Amino acid sequence: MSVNDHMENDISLAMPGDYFALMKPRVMRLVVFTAVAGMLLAPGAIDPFLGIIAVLAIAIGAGASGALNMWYDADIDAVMSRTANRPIPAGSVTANQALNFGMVMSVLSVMTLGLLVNWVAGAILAFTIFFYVVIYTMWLKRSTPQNIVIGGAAGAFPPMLGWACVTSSVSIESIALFAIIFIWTPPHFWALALWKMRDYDDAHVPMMPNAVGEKSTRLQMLAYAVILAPLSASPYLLGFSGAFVGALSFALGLVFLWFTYRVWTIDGADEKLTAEKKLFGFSILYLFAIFALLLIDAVTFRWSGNYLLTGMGSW
Amino acid sequence: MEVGEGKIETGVTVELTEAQRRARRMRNLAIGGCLLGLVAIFYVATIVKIGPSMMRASQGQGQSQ
Repeated sequence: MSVNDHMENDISLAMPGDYFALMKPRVMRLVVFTAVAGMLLAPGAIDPFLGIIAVLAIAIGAGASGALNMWYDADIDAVMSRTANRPIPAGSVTANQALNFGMVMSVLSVMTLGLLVNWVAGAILAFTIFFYVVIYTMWLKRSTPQNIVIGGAAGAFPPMLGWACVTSSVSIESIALFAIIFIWTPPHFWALALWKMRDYDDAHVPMMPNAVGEKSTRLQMLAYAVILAPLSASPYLLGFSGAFVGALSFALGLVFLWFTYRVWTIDGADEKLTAEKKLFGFSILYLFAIFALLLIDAVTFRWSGNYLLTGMGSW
Repeated sequence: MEVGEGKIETGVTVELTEAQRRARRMRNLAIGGCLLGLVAIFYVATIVKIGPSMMRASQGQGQSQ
């Protein structure tokens, strides 16, 4: 073998787009969206330019944790149909490159947020990355069926982060926003897991349906959905969104509960698992709608002093 | 001569294929763009954060003179 032949195999063909794919752009989009909502819902204001930097830093921090997750989980990703096309199993980026990229981006995003916005937000971002990569990816994911329940916290931090960027603090209101995503995660993820069970089985990941059983999973999903319905209206109950949005959010929570109830009553009798797929689809719409409503409400309040479709901030 | 034995023939250079050259160039451009962006962010953020207090300080000086 010549020097050239050998080196040829070692020299990367990775394009910037492959690195971008490591950052899980779709997850990043949701992170940005919920962080902006948290930022606008928080009392007070942040300089618009610093606000944009904050959102960028949060997005990159989330992307960095995605890259580190792909580095650690490359073996699992390779055997699951949903993830087999990710950059590492696809061969466009090596695991080491993903690790380096994730580490550099993590440090850069936390330093930028801390130095330019505030260190409470910087610390929460650092903790979020740590939680997602170490607690969820390295520890819980492969060891307990409660993996996504506790790991879901990582996905629930962004609105709290957005809030902390403005107020330099954590409060009951931002914890409510955290709780909505936290409680939403198990039924959302288990709906997917119920029809991708074989994949998770092949990868030896103990998801609730294959570790504890489908019946128990469906019952637990229902329990989470029961909690989620009133929780959906918590921003109104805590006084940082209007009654109209509160009522709509509660209605969305009830629809979520109905879809979950269907999953529970049909109990897998339908081989195509239509109910599970519908719930999964609706769960994405639910989270988007809740935060879009809160965002619109916050913008309306900042612009006019009244919440959406309410006279003086209340009915 | 084989690589990995710790002895690489002097004067041997690595010829990149067109695809490798292109990928490297694109990566370099992306890193360059990110660094420029970071510099711009820190520059503008510095002005946004300490600019107003510097303006006030200089106005205060002007009034006292």
